[in-house]
Amino acid sequence: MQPLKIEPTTSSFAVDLDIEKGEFRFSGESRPENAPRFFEPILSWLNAFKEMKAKENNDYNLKVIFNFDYFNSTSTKYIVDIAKLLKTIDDLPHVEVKTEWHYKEIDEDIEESGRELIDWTNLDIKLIPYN
Amino acid sequence: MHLSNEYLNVFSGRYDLIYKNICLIKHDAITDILIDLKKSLDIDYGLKKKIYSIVNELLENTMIHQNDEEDEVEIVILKSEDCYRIITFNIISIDQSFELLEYSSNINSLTNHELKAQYKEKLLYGEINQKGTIGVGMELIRLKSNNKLLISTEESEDKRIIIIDVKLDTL
Repeated sequence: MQPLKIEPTTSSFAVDLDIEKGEFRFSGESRPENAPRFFEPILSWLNAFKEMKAKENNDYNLKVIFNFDYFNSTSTKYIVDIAKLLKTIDDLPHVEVKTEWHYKEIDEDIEESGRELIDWTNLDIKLIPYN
Repeated sequence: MHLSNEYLNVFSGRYDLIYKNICLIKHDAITDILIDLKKSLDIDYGLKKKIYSIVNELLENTMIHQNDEEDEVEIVILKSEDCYRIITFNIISIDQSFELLEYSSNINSLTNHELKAQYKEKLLYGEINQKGTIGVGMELIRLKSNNKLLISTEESEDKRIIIIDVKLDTL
């Protein structure tokens, strides 16, 4: 399965999903002009990844890093969907997912969104503030 | 096109105008406004972020519901000692104005707890609509501003103008 890499724009975030490295990164600002066109391929890729891992027996450790500056209301919906999907991947018998939610120490909005994501999806997320 | 003059007269003397822009309702124009605001608003980070979010949701909402690609939106930001007001003006159809007034009336009638519950419900279980959105923009604006949305209409040259006025307290 090929990795997924999407370059950032002024209104959409960077995506770097590297299976070999065992690291998925989402970083930047999210208010894409066409949210379904931007997010649906990401969700499809994650679903295909999940199906692939479900068939494998070897142990796999995955680190997921979220580092958003801002996301609009529709992006929030898709980020929740990504988190829900990551939870189902974490529930696979041979897969362990460690998720980090990075946020500027002074950004209460992004911090609160991270807490909501933990509360709403039961995904184990470590909140990591930075200066 | 100045849709705002009559409405803004009410605030004269009590508020300072700190931002004003009139543009076609397009994604690139929204980007330009947001970049502009990031550079020009020299205020507390948290407040700036709230204004950024409210402006984006208001303009995206206008863009999603516009009838004509040549429609313009006017956005104004006012400041007083204890609050900001973020106000948009754009032309709208009569049917849409009724829909918006009804929707905002519902949002304004909810307690904060009910509003958060509605917002969470839509995010967790809602479906993306035909316009490619989840339809919680107004809920988010109300939550971020922590004030009821003031929505009114004016008639001008056989057109209906919708005015969305969001008050954001600073104290």
